[in-house]
Amino acid sequence: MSLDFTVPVASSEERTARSPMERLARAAGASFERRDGWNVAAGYGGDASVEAARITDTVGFCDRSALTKLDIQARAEVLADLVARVAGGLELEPGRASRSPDGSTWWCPITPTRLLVLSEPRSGWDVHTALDGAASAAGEQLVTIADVSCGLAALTLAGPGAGELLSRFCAIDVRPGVTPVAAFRPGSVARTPGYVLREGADRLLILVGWALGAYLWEVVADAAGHLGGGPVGTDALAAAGGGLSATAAGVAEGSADA
Amino acid sequence: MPPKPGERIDRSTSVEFSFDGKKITAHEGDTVGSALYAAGQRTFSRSFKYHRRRGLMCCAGQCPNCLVAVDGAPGIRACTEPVREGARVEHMNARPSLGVDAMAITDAAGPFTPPGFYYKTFIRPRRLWPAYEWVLRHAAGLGRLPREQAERTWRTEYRRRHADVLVVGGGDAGLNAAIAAAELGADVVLADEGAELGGRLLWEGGHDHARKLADRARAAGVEILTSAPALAHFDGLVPVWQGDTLHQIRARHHVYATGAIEQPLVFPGNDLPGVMLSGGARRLLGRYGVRPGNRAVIVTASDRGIRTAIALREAGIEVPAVADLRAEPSRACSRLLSQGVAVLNGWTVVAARGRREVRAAVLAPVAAGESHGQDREVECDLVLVSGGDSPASALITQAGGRTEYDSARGYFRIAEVPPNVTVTGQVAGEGSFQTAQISGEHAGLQAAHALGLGDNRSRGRAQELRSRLAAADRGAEAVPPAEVPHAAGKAFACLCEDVTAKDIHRGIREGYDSIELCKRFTTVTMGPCQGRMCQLPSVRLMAQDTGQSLEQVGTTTARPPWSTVPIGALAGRPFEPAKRSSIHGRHRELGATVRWAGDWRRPYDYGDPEGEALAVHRSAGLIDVSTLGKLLVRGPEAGEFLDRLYPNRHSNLKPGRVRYGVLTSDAGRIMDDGTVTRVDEMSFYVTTTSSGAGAVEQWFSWWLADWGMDVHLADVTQAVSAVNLAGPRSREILTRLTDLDCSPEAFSYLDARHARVAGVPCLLLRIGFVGELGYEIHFPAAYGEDLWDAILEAGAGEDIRPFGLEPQRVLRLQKQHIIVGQDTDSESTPFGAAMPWAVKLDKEQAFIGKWALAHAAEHPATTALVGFTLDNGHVPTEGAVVLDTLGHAAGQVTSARSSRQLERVIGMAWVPAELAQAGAPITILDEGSRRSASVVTEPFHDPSGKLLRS
Amino acid sequence: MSFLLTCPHCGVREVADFAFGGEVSVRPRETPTFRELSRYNYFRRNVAGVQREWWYHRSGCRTWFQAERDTRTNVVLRVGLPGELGAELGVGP
Ligand code: FES
Ligand SMILES: [Zn+2]
Repeated sequence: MSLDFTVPVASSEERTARSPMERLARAAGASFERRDGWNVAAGYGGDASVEAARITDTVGFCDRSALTKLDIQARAEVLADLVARVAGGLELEPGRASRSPDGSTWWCPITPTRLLVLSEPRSGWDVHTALDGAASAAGEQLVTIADVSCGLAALTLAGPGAGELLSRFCAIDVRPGVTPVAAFRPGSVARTPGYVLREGADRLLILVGWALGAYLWEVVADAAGHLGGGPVGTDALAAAGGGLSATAAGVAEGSADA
Repeated sequence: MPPKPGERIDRSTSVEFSFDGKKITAHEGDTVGSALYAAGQRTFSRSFKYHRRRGLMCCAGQCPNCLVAVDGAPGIRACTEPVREGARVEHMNARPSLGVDAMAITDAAGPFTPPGFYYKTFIRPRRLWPAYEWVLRHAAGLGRLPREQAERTWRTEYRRRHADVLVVGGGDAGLNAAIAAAELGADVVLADEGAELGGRLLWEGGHDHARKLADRARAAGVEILTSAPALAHFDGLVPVWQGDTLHQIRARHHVYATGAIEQPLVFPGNDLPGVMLSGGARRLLGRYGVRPGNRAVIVTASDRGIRTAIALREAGIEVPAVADLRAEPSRACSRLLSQGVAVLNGWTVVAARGRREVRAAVLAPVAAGESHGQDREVECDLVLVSGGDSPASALITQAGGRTEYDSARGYFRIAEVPPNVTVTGQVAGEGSFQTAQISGEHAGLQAAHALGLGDNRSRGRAQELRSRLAAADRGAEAVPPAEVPHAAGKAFACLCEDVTAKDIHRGIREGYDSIELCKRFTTVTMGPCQGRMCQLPSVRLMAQDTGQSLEQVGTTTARPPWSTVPIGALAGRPFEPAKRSSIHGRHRELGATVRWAGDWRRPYDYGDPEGEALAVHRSAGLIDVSTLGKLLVRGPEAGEFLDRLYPNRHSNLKPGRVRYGVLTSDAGRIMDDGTVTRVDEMSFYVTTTSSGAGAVEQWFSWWLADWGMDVHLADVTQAVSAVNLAGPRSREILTRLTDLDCSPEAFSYLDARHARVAGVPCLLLRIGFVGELGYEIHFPAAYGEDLWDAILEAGAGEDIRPFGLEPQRVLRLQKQHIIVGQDTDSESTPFGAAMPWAVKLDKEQAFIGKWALAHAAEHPATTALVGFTLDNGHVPTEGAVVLDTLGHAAGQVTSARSSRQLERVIGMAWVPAELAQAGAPITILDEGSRRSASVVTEPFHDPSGKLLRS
Repeated sequence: MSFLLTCPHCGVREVADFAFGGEVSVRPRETPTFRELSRYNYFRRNVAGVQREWWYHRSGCRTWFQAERDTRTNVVLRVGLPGELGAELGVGP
């Protein structure tokens, strides 16, 4: 593939993919583990109940920059066809993300001709391969799949205060009536281009440019601290449930892998 | 005073704070103002210009008189600031102290500081301005700000709130509106500037009712913000300032229940401590149990003053006289008369007497005009004025509403509001207790209905309320205060800015006879109260003086902010959206000096710019170029798309090859430059300058939107990090990290290759702008640190060094590679910038800029960009002037550096076209001295490009 | 300026989300005379009233679209992708 210089998959165990928030997470007390080639902030300190309490009582924020992110462009019909094949008949709806049946992948329409695909790094590669296969099956039609995993830094805001926390640095209306679960909103986040995805009732995933990841952490940490929240590791987030599942293959049975 | 129902203070508690070092004891619920007043303080501040004593006036956070500093934060209104244990309260605008203010001399010197005085006096001689400025800054202004960020302890929180309905004003009408809308299912926010909801109800006997309404509103789910003034209405966005939080409220419908502001009267001595608005005295009495005085003269234009007289008498305060500007006694007047109070209908106040505090009021008949000897001097320690109620319409006019003068009521009433705004209560002329409530509920229903909520029942209810409103008796209205005879002494029209009635007359005489001009000349209405206290009086004065009607005079535009707010609150969070490369942390550890470059933070050098540059020449250097803009352009028509955008050709580029390109606008001007790499038949990888990345992405997608070609664009600027490995030893270093055949034959100049470097997937471009063999390596950003470390490690034996932006600039300059925006400006064409080779006018596509460039090719510019060298060691300033043969300014130096490698000073400059040839002598005028330089038209370093291609 | 603008894809956003691309004008199809070229490059109608203009959803979906906005009140009457708004409003200098 000619565009694989954007794909964060190294052939050497010595190379580790790192989030732009790594140093700030470390300064906040994160303990790291290497998972799927990424250095991941798994938890903060020994007492996991502190992180769990943030998610249930106030608000926690978790670095999700390691998510696989694919930016796919094609004509609307081609795009719909592609998704239907790879994600087992999912249909795209403007302003609303769809989760693949196995729970591993969010399909987020940016425009009718552009799609952002999010999955855990473990299943990301399979999704990418399946999409490549489906794209070549599309024949003459132009399909562009750009791996922008390292183009977008990501944070999950989790807890009853997630919406209030977002309102401290983002003008997008995330009242549940306006932005229900699965709603996907491209727009300015912390004064910089971004996306907001409501993953669950109390869970918002926000994405901004990779080079602004550290800045986003600073803003969110400041605002969350003011609301009594703080950082949480990926383990606490996974334990709380409601996010993407990392275990499934991420690709529907019988998808085009021609 | 004995306890009264509805008061705000808790007499069982005590709170201690200090005022100018003195201990003051207060109760919980007191404000700084009420506590100080109770402790006998009468002077609260010194005025802006004349440093006159000022005392409490409105006790509602409206007037400027009680501004103090609390714990170092200036500009706090004592009358609304709750007392806090241990707070340090200080006066603001007097030195050495409130009692003795050295600047009060300006009061006596009054006639020497008419409006416009500053503009006219302190402009000459020009060189004395710094001294004048110092003096003026200390003479005027209110309060002091801490100088250093570190001294500031407060933090501002910002919060966006989306809502269905925003109600501004939590009085009777506002509360009823909020309840009605919320009960129909609307998401409602209510903001009120007071600490407690209820507005006027609180000190006019309706406190229980207010509490019930507030409870109902809460139960209906209304989000209530108290002590939260709305600052402005910006196209539907209403900032509300509450303590340390700026709520930015975006509602679909706005209900303004902002009430009315009691107006002062203009008469000599009207600013003496002891002259108060009637509402101020009632608030002191009713809310805080503070006796405002012992003997009060009341002057009123409406029943508001009459009701005050009754309330004062009930509290045992003597009322020797009431002057009522209305000729006919109202029903309330009669009640007072029957109690034996001297009510003088058709009378007004013509002066207040006293030195430190008011001691007597001079009353006279309104109709008398020039005094007919009927003046009556009444001894008192309080003069309470009520010059009518002016609707608080500023936010409504900012929202697009219109006001017009209502001569029956004597104020500017709201005549028109935009569709998503409803006005209710006193601001809408529904000021009686009964109508405020009805109109409030009606406004709430209306707002909900406008949002598609409600049902037949609620619509029926709205209908019923409308008819009740139509039938309501609105009681006696105020009348416009009549002309005041000019007596000796200063009569203040604008307390904030110390503008007297005379100043306004003088302004008009000088020709500033429109209210907007008068405002700018005298600064009337431009003070902290934003004209709350002087808008109407100044319009009246102007009308009186010019013989116009008030309608003709009109009002000044109500500009934000409507309430005072610390400037820091508007500054935003103290975080800058700084882009940082994925290697940023490592640069810091390596000792980089980091500076801004566009919106990025970049290493300027690592402490030794000269040594870093030399390392690139002698062995190898590594620079982080992740800030380059990077675009994928993909599709069967991608080549043609680029041919239309660039003046040169890219469709014929072979996969695996790189070409330089400059982007021009349709005016033929240089916009940006960079490289174009064809990574495969369908895909191009375009790099742009660091600061041009955003603009180029926009530019490409704009033309794509217009042309509708089968091309995809993907901005991977941040997804892809890049480093430039450069220097004679770079090939060896690279070879250690990759399986790729890096021999000059297999990977030559302007080639592009895919390969793994240190296990990381990379796109390698054999290019470089630093004049040595080099590789630009592009790779997934997540590996920034790891790849950077791996390369430095592999080159450790060769003494590889990281280099920053500054050494890179020297290296680029040695090659005469221009920097767009530094060496070019918005007027530069590729022809002028000595890059005619980047333009292919014979290309079949009508590329952007072709027409203008074709014209430019036939009409050469008068100046051209060239290199120059200077041998006497002086580095000219960038921007120094290049002279033509006649000694006239004809161009300028755009870049200049001293090169260690070349051991001379080199630079780029725009010079007269006739001098743009190798060896031509030019003269540079640099900060007064002339320097001779000579033109060099080919690269200073490696002119043949041998090293580059090696 | 803090009015709202509706992106044809994303819906309503604060105007700060967008980049302004100026009034819609018509690029000459054939090689213009120097006068025509200058007019195209440097002249704008600058109406006080409704004009058609380019907007870019810079912070969102990164789409260029056109809007008809009243320059006196900032009220946006219509938005659409290029070609969607029809030809009612005259464009170009
Ligand atoms: S009295 Fe406040 S601005 Fe004039
Ligand atoms: Zn959009």
